[in-house]
Amino acid sequence: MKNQTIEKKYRSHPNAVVKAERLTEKVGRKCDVDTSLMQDICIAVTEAVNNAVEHGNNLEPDKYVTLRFDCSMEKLKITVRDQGNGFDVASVDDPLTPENLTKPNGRGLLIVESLMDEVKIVPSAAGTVIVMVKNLVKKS
Amino acid sequence: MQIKHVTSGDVAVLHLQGKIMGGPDATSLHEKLHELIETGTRSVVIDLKDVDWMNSSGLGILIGGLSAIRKSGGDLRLASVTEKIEEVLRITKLDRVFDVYGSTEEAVTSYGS
Repeated sequence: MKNQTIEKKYRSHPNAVVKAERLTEKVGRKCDVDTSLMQDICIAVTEAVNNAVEHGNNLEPDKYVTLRFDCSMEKLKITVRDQGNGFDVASVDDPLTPENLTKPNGRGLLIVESLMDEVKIVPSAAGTVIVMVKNLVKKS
Repeated sequence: MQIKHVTSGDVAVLHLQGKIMGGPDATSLHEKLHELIETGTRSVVIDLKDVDWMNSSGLGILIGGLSAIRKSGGDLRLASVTEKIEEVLRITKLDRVFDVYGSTEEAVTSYGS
């Protein structure tokens, strides 16, 4: 399989997460990613796109979220970029402390970091970029 | 995601199907849970047998529903969670917050015990 890059831009609307998930499934089929890995990847992509649309771009319709897949034999690298004002990663509350455990929000990053093999977050005044990598186990 | 609502005695059972990832589908689950609470339902079972996976948006809706129902003296219990959802509950330590049952029948029966 040749290395492939697929990129798509979405307006900041709650529907973007559904479109992003469909694209992720499509990329998974194209790159022949194992089904069990696809669940982790889909969860991570929907978390990152949800965050970018809602918290990064604050649902402002003139701002976009860019979703990019770089697929090789060894790994799938996913980059999600928003056009918000960036955020301080250190300021994110720990969702596992007793006082936060039953809050409805704040678990997205924890889930992404648990399910993906590498996660890098680069906040800046021009927006936040999250890069997630899943090492691929090919179908037998 | 699809939601099928059935009643078993005083227990409302919501059978969910698909993926719970946020967006409009998640809103419909949030609305359904709050409709149940507002109409006086105190015992809810969420059957997750046909839910492939859920992300933090889905968990947020379930935990929001659980908190609201417990405040009114009721409970929300989970049944038939899939392997991936079990993993996500474990990662977020929500497996310590929700009562999880192996089947819908067990979860419904638990309200009588």
